[in-house]
Amino acid sequence: MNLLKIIFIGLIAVPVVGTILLQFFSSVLVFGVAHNISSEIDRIEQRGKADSAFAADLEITGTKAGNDDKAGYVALASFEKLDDYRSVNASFYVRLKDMLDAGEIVPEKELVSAFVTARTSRFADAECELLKKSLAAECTVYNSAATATNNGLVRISVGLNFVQKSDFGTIKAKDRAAYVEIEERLTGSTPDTVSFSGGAIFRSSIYEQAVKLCDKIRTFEGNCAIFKVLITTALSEQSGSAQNMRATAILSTIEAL
Amino acid sequence: MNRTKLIALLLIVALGGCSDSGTVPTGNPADLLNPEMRGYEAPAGVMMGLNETPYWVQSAVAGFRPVKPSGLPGKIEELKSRASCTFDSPGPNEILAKVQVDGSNTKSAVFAVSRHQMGERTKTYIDNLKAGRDIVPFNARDDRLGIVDVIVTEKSKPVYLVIAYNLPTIFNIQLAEGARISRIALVGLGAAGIANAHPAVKIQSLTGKAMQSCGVLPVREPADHWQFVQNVKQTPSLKDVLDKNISMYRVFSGWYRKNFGVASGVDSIGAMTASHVLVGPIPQALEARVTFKPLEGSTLLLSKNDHVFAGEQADYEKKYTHVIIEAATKMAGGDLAKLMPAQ
Repeated sequence: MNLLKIIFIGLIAVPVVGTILLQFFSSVLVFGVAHNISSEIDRIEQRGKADSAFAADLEITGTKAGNDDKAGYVALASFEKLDDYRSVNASFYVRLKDMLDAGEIVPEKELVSAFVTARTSRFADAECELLKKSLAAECTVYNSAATATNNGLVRISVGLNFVQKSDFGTIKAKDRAAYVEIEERLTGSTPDTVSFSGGAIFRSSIYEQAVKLCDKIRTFEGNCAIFKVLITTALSEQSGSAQNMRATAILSTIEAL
Repeated sequence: MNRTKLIALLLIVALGGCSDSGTVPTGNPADLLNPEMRGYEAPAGVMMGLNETPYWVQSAVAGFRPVKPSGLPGKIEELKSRASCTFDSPGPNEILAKVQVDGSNTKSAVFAVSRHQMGERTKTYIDNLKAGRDIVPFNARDDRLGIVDVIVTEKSKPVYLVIAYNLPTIFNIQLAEGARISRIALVGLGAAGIANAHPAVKIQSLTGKAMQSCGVLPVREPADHWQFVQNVKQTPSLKDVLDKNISMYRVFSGWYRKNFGVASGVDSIGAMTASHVLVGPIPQALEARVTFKPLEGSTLLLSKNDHVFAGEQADYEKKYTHVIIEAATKMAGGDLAKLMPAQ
């Protein structure tokens, strides 16, 4: 093959091979994007729909809210997975100085809001660890926010999704069953007054109570899932020293009919 | 923008670029006024006079040239804000000139930002990271001061110039020969500056937080040509918003009257946005025009700001984006990656 032929073949081959490669990479890219979009659509469509494989041989009543499945039932049907609907939402006050590292000083006032927003992530992660002690096998933070008050306090709120540590149990029903939600107050008729430094111990006891309550339901119904735990706070009249806390849990179960 | 406006605007741009700045454009400058939500938007080249009368800037200014993006003041000095909400009243030997604009579309190479704003941006950046988005919220344009040339041709008496504004703006004084400014009162929100003022002129300013603490906002009187006012006519449910604006205007105008002896709205000079305003008559002969003084090389008296930067926008963005990232890293305890959600 002489030099002229090589040059001629080269001139033809470069665009042809280039086009083939371009088409190949385009296909991979398009397929990848389409695949991602498709799975995202699937995920969105699945929200509000319980896993159809759950208790497929049973007729379960009380699962619907309008046309959609109830959020608690959707979460229950995905008991072993992290589910957006299964959550702990906790609000509590801490002292601003308790957010500082050793030797660190409070930042200038213009940066306090940024500071508490950043440091709240640590508190949210710590809350997940607290949850794992009794209630959760897995935990992720989906939201954390903080607001500094004028009196050296910071109101923190965290939102967590979790997978329950204790077993769901067994469904006693053979053919027909009902989905039931039980809402229980975990604090008394008046809120519990808790010191700022004692907040974590208090919340830990709330999570333990929720687990115990679920254990109790399981002994009667055979099964129980923790759907939500909600902990709220308000400054007590002696706002310099304590906060008033309330807690509620929503548990769910499949009852035999 | 219609075709006439476009042609006129192109003419302005073309003439602005010419070295022969003695030429006054032909055509009607009113054709270039753009009715916006809160009044007229006058483009560079159109000078706003008394009661929103437009003129070509070249009809009062000789040697006018558009602002260079790189044109920096020679010196920046601090302009202290008043602690009190009151100003000296005009004397019998003074003529009061009321200039009021929201801001200017002509931008300078001067940027100003407060520590408070930087703190808010740092917080937003942290929120973005927590949501999995590594986006530094930074819009340099928001911090860039506009420029309004204040052309003073009034010679009957010394002028007591009262300038009200809303957005960060530099007022570049252009004084005609034989005209005199006795005092300047500067009232408004955000950063503001005065350039090319004679050193003997007494300047009193009430800006930023000090202005806010007086409980008034420099609101212009809503007029029929405002798009917002027209919208209210078509959508009566918006009337409450208009009423609120009118009420804010009345509060400001009442405060203005208490200080300067007259309401703010009547016989004022300006527009929603303008790059040049005229205090006094148009000179009768081209030779009598004011010689243009650019911001470049001038002494700029600037309201107190935590961070001031003069230079290219890209350099400003680079520097202050870095400041935000550094502050966020410190607030996070040294590691921004820990703020990002777990994958």
